[in-house]
Formats: sequence, C-alpha cells, structure tokens
Amino acid sequence: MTALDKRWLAAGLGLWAILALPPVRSALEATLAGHMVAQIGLLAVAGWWLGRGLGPVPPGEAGGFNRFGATGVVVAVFALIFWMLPVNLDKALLAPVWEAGKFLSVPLLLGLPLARSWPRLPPLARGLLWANAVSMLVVMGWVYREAPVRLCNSYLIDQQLLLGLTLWGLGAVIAAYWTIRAFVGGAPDEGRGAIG
Amino acid sequence: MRTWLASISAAVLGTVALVWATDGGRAFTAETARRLAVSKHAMAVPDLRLQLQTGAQARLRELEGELVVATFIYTRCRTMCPMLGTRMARIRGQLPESAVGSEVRLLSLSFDPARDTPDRLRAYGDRYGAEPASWWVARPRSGLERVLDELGVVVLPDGNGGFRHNAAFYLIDRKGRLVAILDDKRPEAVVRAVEKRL
Repeated sequence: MTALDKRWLAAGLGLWAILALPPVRSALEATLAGHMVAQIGLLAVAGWWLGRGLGPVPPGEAGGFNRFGATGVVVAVFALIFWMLPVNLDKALLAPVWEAGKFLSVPLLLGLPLARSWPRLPPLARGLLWANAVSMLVVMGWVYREAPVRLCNSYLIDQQLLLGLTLWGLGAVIAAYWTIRAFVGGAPDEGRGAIG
Repeated sequence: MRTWLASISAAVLGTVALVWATDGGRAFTAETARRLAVSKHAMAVPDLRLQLQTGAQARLRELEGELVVATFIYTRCRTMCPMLGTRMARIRGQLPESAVGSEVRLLSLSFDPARDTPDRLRAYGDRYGAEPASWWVARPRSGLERVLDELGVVVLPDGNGGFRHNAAFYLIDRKGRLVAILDDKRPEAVVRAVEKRL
C-alpha cells in the first residue's frame, strides 16, 4: 500500500466519521436537500475515497465477477435508487436501524463499488452513466417539485421545492461540464480513470 | 459469464430490496406505507385525557364500544383544518342519524392544546355544527406526543407561528384500535368505511 493509498483511505474514513458526528448528522438531515444531496452524496464520496485507498484496480479484481466493472455499477445504481425513495429517507429519520443501514450501505454499496468499477468501465458505458445521471436528476427534480402531496412526512413541502431545484442545479452543472469538455476541452483523457 | 451472473444476481437482489422497501411497489412515501400497515394490522390507540369544547373532562377510552372517526386540527389554522371541519360535517350529515352519537362518535383533536382553550374549541366546533353529544372537539391534557407518534401524525412548525401537518381521517373500532387511515379529501370513503362496521 502506497502513502497515497493510505491518504485516500484516511480521507474516506475521516469523512465517514465526520458525517456520523451527531451535530453534522442533524444539521444535514434538517433539510431534505441536505439529507438527500449533501449527506448521501458525501457518504458516497467517503466510500469512493475508501475505494481509491485500496490502490489501483487490477484487471482481474473480484475473480472475473466484475469484468468491465459491470457488477459494481449495478450494485451502486440500486443502492442509489434505494436511497432516493422518500419512504426510505423518512425511515432513516425515524428508526436508528435504518439510519445505521444508510450509513453503512451508501459508502459500501454505492461509493466503494463505483470507485473499484469505474476505471474498468468502457468509455461508452461511462458516457451512458453520465447521460443517465443528468436525465435522472432532471426527472427526480421535476417529481419533487410537482408532487401534489408531501412525499416525506418529516419535511415541509417547501423543502421539496428546494430539493427539486437542487437536483436540477446538479443536473445542469454536470450537463454544462460535459458540454464544455466535449466541445472546448478537447478529447477526454481516458487514462485519468478515476474521475472522468 | 461470471460477470453476467453476478450482475444479474445483483440486479435481482436490488429489485427485491426495492420491492420490499416499498411494500411491493405500492408505498413510495412513508404516509402510504403507514396506511397500508394499518389496513393489514389494527393498532391499539393509547388512552388520552381530554378536555372537550364544553370544558368537561373525558377520556378517549370512554369511547370504547363506539366507532370513532378522528382527525387532528388546531383552531388557528386557516388552510387545512377548516376543510377538515367541513368534511367532518359532511361525514356527520351522511351517516345514519340513528347511529351518530350512539354508535359513532366524531372527534376533532387539537394538537395545539396550549392555545386551544375550550372557548376556541367550541368556536371551531360551532362553525361546523358540532354538537358535543356526537362530535367532540377536544384538546388532550396528556399523552399527545405518543398518540401523534403512534398514529403517524406529523406536526411541524411552519415558521409563522402555525403548523404544517398531514391530514387524514382515522377510524378507530369499538375495541379502541386504529383500523384505517383514510384520505382526508374523500369523506364519502370514510362514510362507507363506517357504514361497513355498523
């Protein structure tokens, strides 16, 4: 394990621990956007950093069960969908076992498998995932903004409008980034692997 | 091949988890999950000490043996609670006259007991024709938090001195058990649910 790996591991564990601190937890969970976008997003980042801390991804990792990173991406996508459902966010706020489940599953089933699988993904699959991420953010944002009922019992309806706006903003940033990169920044650097 | 198998297994497990967490794809929100759970298993409602619009003291348990249609309000509310009052009055009007007050009791319960004095409760009740013999407009004197928790009523301050809350009609059977949480916008469904149990 290199010094850099250790630093990624420490960063991942550190972020995970900070997010679990009661004041940080309650501050992020006070708003719906903070809960779904900031907390779950940062938990996924913590898992991603842990994944990077495990070192470079060898081609034969996971004994051939994760060729092209397919299995890891499937696991991550389901973990993401699971924690975007309003009913599960409410359960996490009301039941400690669901909260613990969220704190374990988002880093370990979303961030970490994505970090180990992303470098193995073919460029086309990466593009597909980015494009899908944009459309999913736009659709989810629209669902939260237009829902005629309160989706999360624990949050007021104006929180839904804010979350919708946040999801749209995130989608717009990703779309703008890739548009600029595609038309202005030249060809994407596939060797960088971990991010793009 | 192994990757295919692993990916498909992960997708199957993921789908199972999603189906499980949403009650078979029926409950994407906590509110629907709660309604489904109650419709499957009746739930004992904790007793409450109440003060009625007449000023008299009462207990929720006294209503055992009757069907109770309950809803939660606060009298200063200008949005949802007046509608709940109107709809409760509609339910009252559509129920068989012989059953109201003897077999069925209506209950508008305040979740703002500090401000909702008997005078205010009476004024609210009078607006919708609530006769105390058949329709209690009451404030709890203890145990409010527990009842709100167990019935899944969420009350949040709205930042302007009022509250935001989820609205529904709660049907309590003769044994004092919550047997249905019904849509507040469909009073006729509440009437049908009560009539089925008369």
